[in-house]
Parts: sequence; C-alpha cells; structure tokens
Amino acid sequence: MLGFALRRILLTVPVMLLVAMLVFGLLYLAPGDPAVVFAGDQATPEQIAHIRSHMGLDRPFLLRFGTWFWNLLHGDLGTSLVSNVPVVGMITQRLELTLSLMVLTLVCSVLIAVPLGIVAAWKRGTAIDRGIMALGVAGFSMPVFVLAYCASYVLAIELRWLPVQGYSPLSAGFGPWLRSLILPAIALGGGYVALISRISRASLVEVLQQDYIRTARAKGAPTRTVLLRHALRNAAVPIVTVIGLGAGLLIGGAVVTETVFALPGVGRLVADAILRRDYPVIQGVVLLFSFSYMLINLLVDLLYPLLDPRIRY
Amino acid sequence: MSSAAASLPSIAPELPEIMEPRVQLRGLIGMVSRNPSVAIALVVIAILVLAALFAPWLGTVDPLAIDPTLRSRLPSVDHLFGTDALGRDLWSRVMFGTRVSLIVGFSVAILATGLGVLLGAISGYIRAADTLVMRLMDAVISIPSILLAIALVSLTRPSVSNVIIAITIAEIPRVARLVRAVVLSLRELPYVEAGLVSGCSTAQLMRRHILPNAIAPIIVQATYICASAMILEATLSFIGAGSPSSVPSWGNIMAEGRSLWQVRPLIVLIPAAFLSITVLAVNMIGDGLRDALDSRLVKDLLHGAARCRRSPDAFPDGERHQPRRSGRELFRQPRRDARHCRRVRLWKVRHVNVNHAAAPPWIDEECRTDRIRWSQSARDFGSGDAQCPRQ
Repeated sequence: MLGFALRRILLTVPVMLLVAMLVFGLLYLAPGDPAVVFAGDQATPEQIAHIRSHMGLDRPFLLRFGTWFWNLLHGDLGTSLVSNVPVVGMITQRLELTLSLMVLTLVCSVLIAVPLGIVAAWKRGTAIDRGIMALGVAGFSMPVFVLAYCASYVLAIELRWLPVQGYSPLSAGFGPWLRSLILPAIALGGGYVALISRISRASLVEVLQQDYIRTARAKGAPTRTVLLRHALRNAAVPIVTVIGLGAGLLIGGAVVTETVFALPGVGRLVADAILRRDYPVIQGVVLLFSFSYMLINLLVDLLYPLLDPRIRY
Repeated sequence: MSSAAASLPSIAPELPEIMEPRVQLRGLIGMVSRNPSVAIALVVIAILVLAALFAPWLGTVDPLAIDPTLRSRLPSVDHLFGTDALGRDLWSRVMFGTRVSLIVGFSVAILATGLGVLLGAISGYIRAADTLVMRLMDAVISIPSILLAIALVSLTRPSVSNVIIAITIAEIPRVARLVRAVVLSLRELPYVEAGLVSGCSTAQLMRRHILPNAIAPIIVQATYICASAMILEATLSFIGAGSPSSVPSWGNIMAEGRSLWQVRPLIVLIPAAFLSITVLAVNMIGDGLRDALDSRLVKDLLHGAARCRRSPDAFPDGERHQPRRSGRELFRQPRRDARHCRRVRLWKVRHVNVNHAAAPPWIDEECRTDRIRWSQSARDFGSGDAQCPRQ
C-alpha cells in the first residue's frame, strides 16, 4: 500500500514537469518581444539587444526553462506585464473567493448528486429515474454561463432573493458570504451535479444486480441499509473517480462564473489577462489550476484502496 | 387468449401462437421506434444544419449591419427576435451563429477523433511509444481543457480556425486514452493472435482486426467531443477569446448582450437556448448510440466502471445480446466484438487446429496472399486435431 502510494506520487512528478514545460512553452511561443516592451518606444536596436541579453532572452530554451522553473520552485511566477505586480501576489489575493466558490460547489454538488443517483438507480426504469436522468442530460448540455444567466434571471432579477453580482468575503460574516455565493454555485454546479448523478446511477445499477445485494435483501436488511451500506460502498470507486475528474469542470467553470457574476477571483484574473495578453498571469493561473487538478486526482487515486479493500497494488 | 385456455390439453403446440415472435422492425422506422429521443435529436440537428446552410435565405439581413435608430428593440414582425444594443438584427445573428457552432463542433469531433485514434493506436500497440505518448497525453489532460484552449487561443489572433485547433488539441487526449484502452484489451483476444499467427502485418492487424472492433466506443466518444467542443467554443467566444466579433457566434452574441442583461434578457437567453438545445441534441445522439451499440466495452470505458467487468461467460447468449443487433446494423460492424469473444474463439480455435493446406476462410484476403507463411505456421501447430469437429 505504502509502496503503491509512493510510486503513484513519484509518477506524478514527471507529468508535473511536463505540464510546467508545456505552460512555459506557451510563454516562449507568445508573440511580442518582452525586451521591446520593456525598452519602450525610443530604444535603439543596441539597447534592445542589451536588455534582451540582460533579461536572458537570448539564451536557449532549456536554460530559460531551467531558470524559470527554479524561480517557480522558489514561489516566483514573474511579474505581470500590465501592472508590474508579482503574479503570485495577484493570485493569492484572489484565492479566497475561488476556493470558497469551488469548495462550496463541490460539497453541495456531491450532497445533491449522489442521492439523486441512488434514487434513480433504486427506482430504475420508472418515471422518477427517467426524470432524474433527463435532468442530468439537460444539466450536462447547459453551458455554465447559460445556467448562470437563467438562474440569476429567476432568482435575482425576477424574485429578488439574491444579489445579482458581487462578493462578500467570509470575514464580513457567514450569511452575506453564503448569499453572494449561492447563484455562482448553482451555475457552476449544474454540469457537475449532472455528471456525478449519471455516474452514480450507472455504478449503482451495476452493483444492485450483484448476488450479495440479493443476499442482503433476502436476509431482511432494510432497503436503506442495502442501498447505503451494501450498494453505495461498492459503487463508490467510479463515483469518487468522477468527482475528481469533474474538478476540471469546476476549474474551467470558475473562469466563466466569475466573469458573469463579476467576482474578483482567480478565474476572473485569467479572463482579464487573456484580453490584455498578460502572459505571465495566464501562465501562473494555468499552472496553478493544472497542478491542483493533478493533486486532486492523485488524492482520488490514493483513496481507492481505502474505499475498496479488494483493490490491491 | 381464450382459445388458448379452451384447448388446455394441447397447449404445447399452441405455444408459438400465444407467445408471438418478437418482430424487430428494421430500417429507419425500426430505429426511430426503438430510440425516439435519438430520432428527435437527429431531426433537431438536421434542422440546424439546414439553417446553417441556408442562413442567407431565411429572411435574414446582414448580421453585422448596424442601425442606430433600431437599438435594443423587442421582437416584432420585422425583427423576429428583436435587435441588440447596436441595432443589429438578432434573428440574423443567431442564424449565422449556427454556422460557427456546427462547424466547430463537427470539425473538432473529426479532427480530434482522427488524431486521437492515431496516437491511441500507436501507444496501445507499440510498447516503446506507449510511455512517451501517454505521459504527454497525461500532461495535456491535466490542464483543464478550457484553460488550455484559452491559453492556445491567446497566442494567436482570434479566428474560428484557431479556435478549432485549440479545442482539438485540448480534446485529443480523451480519444487517445480511450483508443489505447480499447486496443490494449483487444490485442489480447484470440482472433488477434490468430491474425498475427497467420502472418498479418501490424498495419493489417490494426486495420482489419482491431480498429473495426474499437469503432463503437470511438463514435460514441466523438459525439460527446462534438458537444463539448460546441460548449467550449461558446465559452471562449463569451469571454472574448473565441470567434472575432466580425463573426457572429452564439457565445459572441451573449457576450455582447451582457451589458443589456437586466433590461433585455432575450438577447442573452435566445442564443443560450439555441446553444443548449443543440448540445442537448448532440448528447442525446451520443446516449442513443451508446445504448444502441450496447457493448459492455462502450459502457465500461465511458463510465469508468471497468473494474467490475464480468467474464464473457456470465450471460448465456440470448436476450442480453438482442439490443446490440440494431447497433451492428447501424454501422455494419463485423460480427465479433469484445463481448462475443467466446463465440468467436470457439469458432476460430476449431479452424486453427485443423491442418489445412490452404488458409481457412476467415483469413483475410490480404493475409491469404501470404499463403506460404500461413501453411508454414499451420504445420507448426502440429498434425491437426481430430477431436475438433469440422464446421
């Protein structure tokens, strides 16, 4: 078990390195010469060449990557081309919002989606099942921003229950914080709920056909025990897998949700950076999101043997 | 029924009448009656394709024509969906926007599937390439697809073809991983070994034995990629990194309608509805195909439940194979697939062990040209097997 965990963690390292290289390659390929920008309008070619060699832009790719990576390991992602502020500072400043939004969405989605999947699998073939699955397909087909506008039209503009946009930090109180995040969480969670409930249903339907479920029923276990203890436990691996894989949806969705609801988060940061072609910022955020996505899935992989002792490595 | 009850003693001869044979409708009508949701979805897509093709003749005006006197009007006879903040006709913009969505969806599905199949087949079949290709795919897939697409588009000028390239790159790993998994499971099957023994080259094996059997999950995956490409394109356009504003796309229209969102929600809601319905239709086709091609391979691979795959002998050939027939008719799949390995194997083993001088009929035409090698390997098998009954 320990050996497996160690091997799995070590396997992540080269992939992370490769991701870092891809993301660095992005900046490397980016059009526009930072030296020209840095030198200003009145610079002579000699000055530009001097600045270029001073900034190390004339060195080979691998050497530049090495320097960049070394800085990355020391927590330095460079400075923004637009505001000249360190990228790390810009990100940490906005991290609270994005993290609260994602964690809230993740927890709520799982709490809604898994029971939906259980009910659909239990009532398999009935109108309830078909209804839930139709909702699932619809939720999966609705882009984040469509859901965002529909939800905010109904809940904020027509009913006026929730603020249309804006964020209230957790330090200003739990109530306002939650109220400001409900709409974005609905928008962000729609596709995620659909995905998890579909997989939960598929996985549970598979498990409910097993002999040990019949045995459990035959010995008189109540339906709730059968569903939650016998079936769900055994159906957990695909569900947890998709919760991890679906985190990618949350990350991508955060960019859009934060734009729609004017939330000053990391996703908004990258959306703005694209319009301004602020490559170091794009690079930093993409790197951050990719690494967290990989770590989430690493965690999921490490969870497998705990969820299902039959899995041995 | 009453006549059956009256003649109870002779019930056995009447059984066929009581239990009428299940008639499976064939052709288009049969397919529609079995999968009404797929039929509806196909009709929706057909209408959209027609709308995209004939957009200039559907009562549209120039989707870019600005009219300051007609800004943000409500729907009327002249302007079916009203006008936007610059006085552009929304109906025309939405109709022309259909083109972008469909082009991006279909081209990404085709390109990503083609390249993904190539990479997946290479890494599934050639061990040396496996680690390299798959680590690269792992790296690409660890970057959430929308972020990767954003980053790639930000490198270039926004244009529809750049959007297609960016989304394709982001989607390739999904196909490649799937194909690799299928190839890995198929290459262990007896008929592939038999092909190998009979002297097929790797390319022949790939083309004649492995890829035809992997086609079902690939097609299903392609429809899902088409749907997600449409969503990605709209998302990119929405945040301003997709189609340029000179090309109306549903994402663009919504992005430009944001400023009037609280006053004229229709400008955002109409393209949103079009986008959702289109993606829904494509997803429904994907679901329908998945059910029609009901091979466990498709379900296991797409649903990640491969862990508890049952042995092929768990079900006797019978009812469980019924629904798959429609799928095979749909795609003219060969009568072998992963679930049928038992049937195929029995049939082939009989032949492999018989010491024919000529190649048995199941050897493909191309392999048969290599007859000397075949009879050589047949001799290597030993002096035939008398216990195996000939078919």
